[in-house]
Amino acid sequence: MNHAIAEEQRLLALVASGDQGALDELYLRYHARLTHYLFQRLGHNAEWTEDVLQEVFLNVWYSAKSYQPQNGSPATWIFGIVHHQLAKAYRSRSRHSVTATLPAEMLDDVEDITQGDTEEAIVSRLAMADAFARLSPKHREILELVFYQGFTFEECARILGVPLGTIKSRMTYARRALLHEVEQSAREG
Amino acid sequence: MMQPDAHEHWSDLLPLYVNGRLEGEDREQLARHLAECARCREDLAGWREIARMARQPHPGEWRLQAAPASLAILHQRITAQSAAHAKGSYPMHPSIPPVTPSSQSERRKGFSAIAVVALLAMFVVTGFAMFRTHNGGHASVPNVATKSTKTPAPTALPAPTCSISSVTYGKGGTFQATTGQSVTVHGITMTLDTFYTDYTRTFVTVHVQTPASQPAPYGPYDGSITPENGTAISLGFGGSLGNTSAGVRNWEGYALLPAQSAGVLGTHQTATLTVNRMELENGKFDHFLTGPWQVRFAFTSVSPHSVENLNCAPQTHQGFSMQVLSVVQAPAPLQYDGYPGGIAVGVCFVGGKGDPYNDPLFDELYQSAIFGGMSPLGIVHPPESEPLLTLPDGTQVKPQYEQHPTPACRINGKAGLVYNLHYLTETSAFTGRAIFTVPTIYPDQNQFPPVDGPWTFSFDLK
Repeated sequence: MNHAIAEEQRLLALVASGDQGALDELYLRYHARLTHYLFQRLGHNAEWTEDVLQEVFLNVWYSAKSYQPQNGSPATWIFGIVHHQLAKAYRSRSRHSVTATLPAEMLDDVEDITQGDTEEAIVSRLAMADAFARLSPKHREILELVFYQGFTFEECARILGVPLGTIKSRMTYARRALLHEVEQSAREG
Repeated sequence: MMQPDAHEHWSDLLPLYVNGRLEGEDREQLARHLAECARCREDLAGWREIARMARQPHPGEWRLQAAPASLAILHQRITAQSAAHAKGSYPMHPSIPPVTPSSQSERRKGFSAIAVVALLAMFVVTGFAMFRTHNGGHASVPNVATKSTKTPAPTALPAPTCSISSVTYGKGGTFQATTGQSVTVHGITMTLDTFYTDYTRTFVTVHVQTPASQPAPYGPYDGSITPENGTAISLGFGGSLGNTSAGVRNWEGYALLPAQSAGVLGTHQTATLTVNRMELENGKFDHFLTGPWQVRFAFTSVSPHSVENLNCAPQTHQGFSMQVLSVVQAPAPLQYDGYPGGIAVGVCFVGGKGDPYNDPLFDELYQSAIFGGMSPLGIVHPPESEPLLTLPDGTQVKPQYEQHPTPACRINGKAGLVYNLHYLTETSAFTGRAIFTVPTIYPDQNQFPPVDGPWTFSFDLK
């Protein structure tokens, strides 16, 4: 077994037994990955990112006992919590002005590569390529899980709670949509 | 002739080939398939481009709290919820037995110690963030105790493993701009407020004022900084809508330059800030006014005390290499948390099996790694490896602030990532031999196990 996975499983077991030091170590291991991921998902809102990150680790603290190694790596389990907390945040958070334009479609399984007009309002185009920024949140999400976070398709399916086939089709649609945006940008540019 | 379904099969696996999760026989078979399938090679190039975009960080990410500060908040929340549990309003951790007065007291003591350290760390990070964005070099310095640990000074110092070929004035130092210059185009006035660069990144803060009759400004867009007789450096702008007063709306934000900009700017004393388009907020984010707005400004070096070009030979253990590229000792910008100075060590890390360097499209992977700081190179996470710096007086310190990766790192033809590790010190001008040690390298956690060193470099501070 991968040494890092074994170590994180050990840490999760310690967290389940109430070891706050183990929680600290997990937190430090995942902080950069999760803040990046949440920051992208939450309209580049630093405050909101921090809030959701805290909720994620409170969940890790209180539910570590429910982790089952046979169902995947600790990273997959933690990102599953992240996805759940994101969904919760989208639904409940109204004080952020971007909430009205947040992508409700992220929460369902409908594939629609033409969506994106409303999401654009929450997408900062400051440094990312315009074409990538114009992707729907759902497509950016899957591309970031695979290419930034390094998950396999099976792990993505567990994290997002969707069938493996949906993950593969999202990848295909995301690529198609991205190429479409790139070509369109080239024509406009 | 290749079967169509074979192509589909391998094509589906290309993303996992790119992210390094396709292993063993599958990876080898796909590599063989790629050699004979032009269509798959084309697809692979496309996926790599997509991966590169997916890994690009948003320039606003630096605003996020560093882990220690964020962890302190988590501690506070757990404690608060435990207290709520004691009142019967929130669940206690499932493993924790009912709290007795004595055990509660002990737990509180334990937490207090952690919280004090964590809150101190939070103060370091947030204080530094405020300092670098608003103060331009004059942080308010809290009076806190040192976190370094004293160890006996070595009786026989090792020979220096790095020789100094030259001292480069200014490069790697800090610069504070002469600010306050303004320019008005289309009734929109842009004022350069602060300009600050440290070892790897540069920040610019501008104010944008728009008459109340116009839509609120969202901020600059398409900008660059051009050093005197130098090449323009593209800017990424970030920030937020500011306050509204006296019929004028203010916008305040920052710009983040690419990592290598500090070195470029370090050789120049004047530069021009150019904003080609000003974005106005109309609800659709598609309303721009075209400029350019241009502000010329000067900046002066405030950190002459630097030592570079150490000529450190790389050291390799189990396929991972490390090389100290630069050492900068400065009173600022590291003057925070009660410490009068600091030393920044720039370290190049190269490593990882499943060698991506043999890949014909390696350059794309390299760029991805630079911008994403992620796994294609199997790069280590220095903060987890606790690289220690032993100062000439025997004091051993841990890095307090780790900068983002920067490029310009190659060992034996293989590219890697540079990290700048900041060590707070009790003086801004140590002289004598310092020893930099990394006990263990922790590569990307999904790919490689930890690699034990130690990697040790010694060099003379002057």
